Amino acid sequence: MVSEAVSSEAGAFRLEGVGLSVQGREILRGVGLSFPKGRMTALLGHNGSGKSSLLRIMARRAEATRGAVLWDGRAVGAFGERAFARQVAWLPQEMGAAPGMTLRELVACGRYPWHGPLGRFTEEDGRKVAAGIEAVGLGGFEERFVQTLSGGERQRAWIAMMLAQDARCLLLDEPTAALDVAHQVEVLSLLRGLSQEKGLTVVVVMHEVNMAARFCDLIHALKGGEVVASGPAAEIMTPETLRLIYDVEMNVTHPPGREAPIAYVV
Amino acid sequence: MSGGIRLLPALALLIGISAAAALLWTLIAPGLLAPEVSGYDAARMRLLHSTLPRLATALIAGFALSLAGALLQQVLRNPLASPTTLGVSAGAHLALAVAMLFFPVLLGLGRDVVALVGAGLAAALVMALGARRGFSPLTLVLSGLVIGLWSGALAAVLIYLNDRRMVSLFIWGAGSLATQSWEAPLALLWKTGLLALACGFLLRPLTLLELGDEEASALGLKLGRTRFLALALAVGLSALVTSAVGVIGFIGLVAPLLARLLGARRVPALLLSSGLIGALLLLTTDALLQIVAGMFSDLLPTGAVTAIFGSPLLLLLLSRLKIRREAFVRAPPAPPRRGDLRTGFALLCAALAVLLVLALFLGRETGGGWSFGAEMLSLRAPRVFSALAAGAMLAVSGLLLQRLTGNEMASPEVLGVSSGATLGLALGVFLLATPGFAAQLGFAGLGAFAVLAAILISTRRSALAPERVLLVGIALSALVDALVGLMAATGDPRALTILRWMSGSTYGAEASGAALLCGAAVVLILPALLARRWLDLLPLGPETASALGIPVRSARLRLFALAGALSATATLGLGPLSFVGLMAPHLARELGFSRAASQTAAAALTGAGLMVAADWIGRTVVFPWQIPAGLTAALLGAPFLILLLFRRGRT
Repeated sequence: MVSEAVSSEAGAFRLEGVGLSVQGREILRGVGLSFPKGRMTALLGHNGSGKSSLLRIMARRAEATRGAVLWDGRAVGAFGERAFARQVAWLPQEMGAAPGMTLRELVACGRYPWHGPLGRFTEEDGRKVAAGIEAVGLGGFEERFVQTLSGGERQRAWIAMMLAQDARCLLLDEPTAALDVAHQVEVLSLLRGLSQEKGLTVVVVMHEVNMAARFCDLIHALKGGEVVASGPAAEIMTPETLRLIYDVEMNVTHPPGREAPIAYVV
Repeated sequence: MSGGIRLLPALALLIGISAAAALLWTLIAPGLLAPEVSGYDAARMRLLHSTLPRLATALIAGFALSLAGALLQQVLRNPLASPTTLGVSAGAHLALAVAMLFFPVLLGLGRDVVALVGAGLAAALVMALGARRGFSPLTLVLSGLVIGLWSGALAAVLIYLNDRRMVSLFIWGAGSLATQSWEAPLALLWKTGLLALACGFLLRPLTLLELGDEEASALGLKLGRTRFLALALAVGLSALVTSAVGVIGFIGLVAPLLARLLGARRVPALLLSSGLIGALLLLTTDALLQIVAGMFSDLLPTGAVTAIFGSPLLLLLLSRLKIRREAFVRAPPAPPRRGDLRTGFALLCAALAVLLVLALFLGRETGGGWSFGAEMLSLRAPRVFSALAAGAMLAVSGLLLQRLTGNEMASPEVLGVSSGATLGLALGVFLLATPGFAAQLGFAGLGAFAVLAAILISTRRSALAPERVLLVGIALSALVDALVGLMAATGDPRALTILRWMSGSTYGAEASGAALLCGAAVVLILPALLARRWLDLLPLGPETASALGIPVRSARLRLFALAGALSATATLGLGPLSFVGLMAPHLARELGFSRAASQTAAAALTGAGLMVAADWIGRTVVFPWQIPAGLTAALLGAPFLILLLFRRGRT
């Protein structure tokens, strides 16, 4: 499945020998990974494993000191700012407070890559905004101020902005960290649905291995800045691999009626 | 932090002491080595009755101020607290100035009492503001700065209205150590000495405070009483010094910081070494000043000089200081009301039109009565339209800065951009004598951009973190104010021109200048309106803005440059002190304009209206005298800023 996706460059991320050193400290080393189109991929790893840094490199928020980062077969550095934002949307871990903005206004910000600083805000733009709000289930909240929304609603508001951006790839840094289980499931199913129905490339940095196995097609695991495991979720969910990733004795169980196995600490 | 004395700072201290000793020797040697002459001995007289008491005053004042600073820093757990940054010295200064002018009988009761009351009031106000934020370092320093600026503005009005009587007060206010007898240092010595000894009782309580509030009170410490006593002692020390020698900036801030850098960790060591370092610092500065300035050293206030040395040091230290992210700059304000934009704009335009008619046609007659007519139009129109254009430009500049730094306290006045323009203009006046409009604009622009560049460079590593930008701006404006104060104190006639212009007078406005300002306002406000989408997206944070494809770095640079150009041009017309750049964007938002484009337009209208109103009030209320428009706006604006701090504190 993986090799088949790699052969197609369109709408896919490919990393070759990516390394990152900050002030002489190696944060990433020789990372070679693929994030195929239409798949939802989880980036797993312990704290400080470099998974956020890797995502930031893919989002062009940081520059790799070695190796190549290719989107759609082209180096990410070759895109202009707005051109890249039309292709790849990125949701940072911490979002601004958006003071004094209504939900609709915030989501409309996602159209900037398309209309630019001076272009007209077209009906098409308006439709995309409405669709984004509808997709995250916040219809009816359009005129609410973002700062008055609850944590889960605010998270979804930002995802709506990402959707309005109409990009082919979504990069999300721990989008479920601030959410309760119900909202985690909601957000992750939404992302999974988008990857399957619209063929979007979705990359999510996550902590929870069971959530990753349940919702993602692929799992890439980092440890100390290097790739320790990579493959379909089912292949990663073995006691041996999990021990390798987290340095903790773990086991896996297959509860009846559930496709994805469940990992637990022994 | 590891304890013990560090090698490098210790070496620096050693060099400092040797330099001080060398300087002192240069000062004392002529009187000491002169062959003994019977009868009148000028050199010895000078040494005994002028040089030595002055040096003694420097030692005592330096010790007292630094002790006060160390106390404040310790009890507020705030590395930026000091008599200067908390507005305590400025409060004392204002009280003395008011007493001298209006209630001279009070001074008979005792200068120290008056100074104490002023300092105490300022401190109480700052504490009241700070208490609402759990004494967060930034709120305290900001309130202190505002109260300091406000006191300064008020004192400036007094000087302006009574300039003959007040020139000496101005020089004293800037911190002059010149003295002709031993009376002053001796009086200062026993008073501050008593207070310093009283600090001994606080050593243990202050040590306990290090543990944190919970733990300290668990050990039986009365928190409130300890804090109050420590604050009272610090306020007392700074009031006494201010009453004796005027405002001496930054010694009380720098000395404790240096003491800490040198490795002083425990409270007793910290207090004592701060005092000693402060004494040494002020002594060295004053000795250096006496040697360099020679005959004129009596006129050059040492306080202004310490500020000139002190504020760059503060800048340097700021880049190392760890300031935790303050909730108050990031906390979203209460959601604004959303009005109908069209009605809002119609109302704003109508209000501005009414103000314009008032300002142009309604005035006072020579007899003092009111008159309404067009006779004075040709005289009034230039100043009204200069005020209008400058107000609009300042407002837009403030809006740009607030949106760029994501910081609602930012404005050209608070960030020192206006002060930079002032300094540039002052340089221009000193270099060219009578620079034309273009040259003035060039110099003012240069100054404004220099300050903006300094802010950008020194906050580069922290990616324009709001609190750092503010603090750097404060430090820079203190520096610029000190430099301008120094120029003004030289008594050069050109200085008076600058002083008058600094007060924000529109008195000299001419038709051509007003037309130029209006033209500039249109040309410069237009790009701000065009950049509305950037201004909407940038406050979402650099990460989000760049994820959406905004070239964040270049967009910021361009908008900063625009803000600099706007405030430089406006400062030309209005002087640096007005707070319109701070007020107008807030008022616009309170009126319901929250998107970038509408807020920009509304802020420009509001700013224009405010300045027209300030100009009109300034020339009618105290008729036949005039209060410059800039000062009127500042006097109205500072309480507004305090109100803002209070309100934010409540959330």
